[in-house]
Amino acid sequence: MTEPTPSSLPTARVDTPRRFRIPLVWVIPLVAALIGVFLALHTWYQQGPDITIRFKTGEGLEAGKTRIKYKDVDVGHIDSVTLAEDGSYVIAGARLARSADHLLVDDTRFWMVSARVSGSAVSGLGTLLSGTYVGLEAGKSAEARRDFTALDDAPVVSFDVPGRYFMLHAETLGSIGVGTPVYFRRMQAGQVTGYRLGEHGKRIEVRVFIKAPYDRFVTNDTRFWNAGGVDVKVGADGVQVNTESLTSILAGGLAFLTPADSPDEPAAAERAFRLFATREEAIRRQVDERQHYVLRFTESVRGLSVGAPVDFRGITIGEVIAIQPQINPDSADISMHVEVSLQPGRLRTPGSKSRLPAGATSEDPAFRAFVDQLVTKGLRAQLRNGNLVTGQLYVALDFFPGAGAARPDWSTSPPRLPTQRGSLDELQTTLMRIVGKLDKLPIEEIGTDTRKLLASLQRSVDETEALLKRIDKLTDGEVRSTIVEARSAIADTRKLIASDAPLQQDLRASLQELGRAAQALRHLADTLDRHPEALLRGKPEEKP
Amino acid sequence: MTHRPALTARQAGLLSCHICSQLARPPAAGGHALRCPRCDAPLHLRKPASLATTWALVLAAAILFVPANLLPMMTTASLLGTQHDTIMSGVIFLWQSGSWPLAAVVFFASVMVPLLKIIALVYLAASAQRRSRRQPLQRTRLYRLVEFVGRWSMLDIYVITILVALVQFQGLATIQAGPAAVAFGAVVVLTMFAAMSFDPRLIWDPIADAPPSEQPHD
Amino acid sequence: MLAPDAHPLLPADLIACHECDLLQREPALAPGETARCTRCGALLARNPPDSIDRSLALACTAAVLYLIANLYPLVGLEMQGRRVEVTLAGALHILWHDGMGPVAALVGITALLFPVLELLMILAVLVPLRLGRASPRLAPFFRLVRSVQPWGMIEVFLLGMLVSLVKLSHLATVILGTAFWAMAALIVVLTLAGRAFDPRLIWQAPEQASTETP
Repeated sequence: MTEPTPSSLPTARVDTPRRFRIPLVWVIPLVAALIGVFLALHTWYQQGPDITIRFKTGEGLEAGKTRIKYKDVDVGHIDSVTLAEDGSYVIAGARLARSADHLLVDDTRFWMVSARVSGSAVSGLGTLLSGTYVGLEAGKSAEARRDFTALDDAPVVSFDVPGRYFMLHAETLGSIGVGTPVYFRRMQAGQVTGYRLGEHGKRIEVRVFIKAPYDRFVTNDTRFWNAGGVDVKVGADGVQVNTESLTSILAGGLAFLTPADSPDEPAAAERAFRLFATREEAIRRQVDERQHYVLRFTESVRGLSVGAPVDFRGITIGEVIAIQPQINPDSADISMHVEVSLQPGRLRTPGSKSRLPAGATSEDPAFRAFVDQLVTKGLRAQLRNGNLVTGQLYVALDFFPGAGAARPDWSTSPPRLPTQRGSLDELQTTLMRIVGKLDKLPIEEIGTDTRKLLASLQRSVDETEALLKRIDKLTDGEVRSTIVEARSAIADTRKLIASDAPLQQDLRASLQELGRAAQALRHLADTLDRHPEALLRGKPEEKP
Repeated sequence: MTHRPALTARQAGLLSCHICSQLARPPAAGGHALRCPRCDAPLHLRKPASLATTWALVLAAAILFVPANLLPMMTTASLLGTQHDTIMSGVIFLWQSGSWPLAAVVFFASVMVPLLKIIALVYLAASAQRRSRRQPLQRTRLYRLVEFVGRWSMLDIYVITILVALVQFQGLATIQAGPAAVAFGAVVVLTMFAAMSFDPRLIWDPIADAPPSEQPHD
Repeated sequence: MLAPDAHPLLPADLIACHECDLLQREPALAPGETARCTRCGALLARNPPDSIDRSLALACTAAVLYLIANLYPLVGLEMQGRRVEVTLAGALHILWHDGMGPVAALVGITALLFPVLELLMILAVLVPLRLGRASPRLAPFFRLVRSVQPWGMIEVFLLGMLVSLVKLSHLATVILGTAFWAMAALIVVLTLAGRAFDPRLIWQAPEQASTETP
């Protein structure tokens, strides 16, 4: 048997390793790549929507930094700040977190939050430390939106607060601004959210928000007025100071009240109301219904001005609208026509809660009959002195039992009510009468007569004296003493009635006084005629 | 062929490529701008003008080291006022606020390291210039240390970068880099270049040139 | 250009130490071994196992990490409700705008530009090698890598960031961003990639190619 030789043994097969052997180390980059991809996907998924917001200025906006906050929670940031093409506004691009996606609807609002100090509020002080940010207020619309225009200021009222908006029409803006509080019974019930000039520039339209539960108290009859500042009234009844609150003194304020007899139904939202300038006005004009009348005066209406009240025994029921002289060419007469606006509704009929029945206009025959009745009873219009200090007149309606018969003239437009002369006028007339009477006194004749009388008296005395002398010669003794006594008595009498005798002088002086007095009275009557206020003020200086 | 002990490439008349370690013989005709046959890198016997360049750069770094430490590195403006910080005051701040390890790190990296680098380079350059044969191994190790550690001096520069980038809250606090940052950056760059321009082989050349009897003692 | 010297007296495995210039023979290295100079101990050569694969894999990882480190915010600060986050590029932007141009440039070069350059060059070198298509054209890339390498200082950057964060942690809340962790990982990976790479591979392949051609 042959032993196998080494050379005949087969060689083991060499298994060369495959060229493409992947070493384990490649796991590492694989893992890294996976992590990278995961991060990328995560970031992409986390990306919220991109929006653009228009701002008036870029103040406070820093690209990449300024945050957007909703209810003070960070929901995004501003990415870019660029100027619009025409340079009139700033476009800010912002990126929001995914979680904020549902907040971006049609009426969502954005605004810049920074420290603000205004008359009625100080806000946003936190931003001094934390930097300004953009506030977001989510709207309620269902429509998504990606382009927004920022508000200039924070919305005064956020969407969540229940309440109602109303429109107020005002003559002037006064101290009203955005945020001005609105008070109801001295409690803050809402605030002004905005204002603008009405069409044709005829009025200011102020938008107010009244929050619940106060908005329930706004009915169709509610009166709004400007309660800002301090209302100081100096009137015939004294000085009155009225103010709503400290804030309103500084920052202005509006107030409203609803008349007690108003129906309970709350007014609809966005209803328009008139904004009165003062509380007085607001209360006064509780009735819309007004009637115009004209009053004819033949006396001076100096001191009466447009807007002067028409008063019935202390209650203002109207005001003067116009004053005009009217020439009546037929009778060559000039009289003063005063047009007044009355609110008969202020006079209530007893038994009904409200005013005169609706529809009580001056055309209503029942109403006319009623007025006729009043006039028959003596209702007249009279000019009276309202204020002794200023000499202002007002129109007073009152019953004058002794007035002459008169009837309202319904034929003119506006209808005419009868008038009564004013009391000052009467005083003047009486004075004139006295002066006239004084004037008529025949003072000169009396003086002449008195002189004659004295002269004859003198003659009598002289004769008596002569007689006594003869008698004296005839009688001695007692007769003589009697006669001497008689003589002395006569001498006394003569002294008395001598031209320089005090009695005569006094008499003369008195007559002179009387004459002067009559003159003065005449002058007074004259003055009063021209300057009625001279009763108190004294004569005005005579012009040379 | 006999191998003398400690034969250097220079003694053998060979040029060594610093990129690919290829040895090559200069052409007989001589010439400049020699290039490596393998990787085409410029070939030099020794780094060109090594000592001169090193001296210049070290000197410049030493000069700039003064303003880098005296001028403020960082200006912090806050509601409390403006505060200037030099490198040292930053270290002291860290120390006082309880971060001792960090204070040590910053001090070491920002003050000690550049200083020691400059001193080391001066020593290396001087010893090479004087052709000293003392302790070549230690000097080589020193050189390696200088090269390795050099980059860590950039620490403070990076600290400033991050601080400036982060603390930009207008109104609350802002940090700005001061002029010392530029000077300090220059110091680091210069010392790095200086280390790169020093040819460590210069340490060993005097030993190779010395007669065999005068072998270096380690 | 010089031709390699084929002097018979000059063995092909001769190498001069680049720190002490001593001529010595380069030993054959088993995988994982390193060769050091006999006189001064300088590193002469290393033979990492699976060098190309490992370095390439690590370089790819580094690339991904580098992207993450630059795209995501690095660190953030939160003070009084205000929040700031920076990426690396953002931080440089701020420095630049603050007037610190030179410093921004320095930081940008050392922490941003050169590391990415280094990475790209490494990839440019490694990919052809892996695919087996080595060529002398790779040499300039490698030279670029070598000249750029000392200037890539991401690890110093990371430490600097840590120091500044500690400084700031007293003032405000510090937020470490994604990029921060990516950068930390990047440093580790880059170091490993550097260790895993054997430069001799670049030269060996062309040489083998040249010696194999008839």
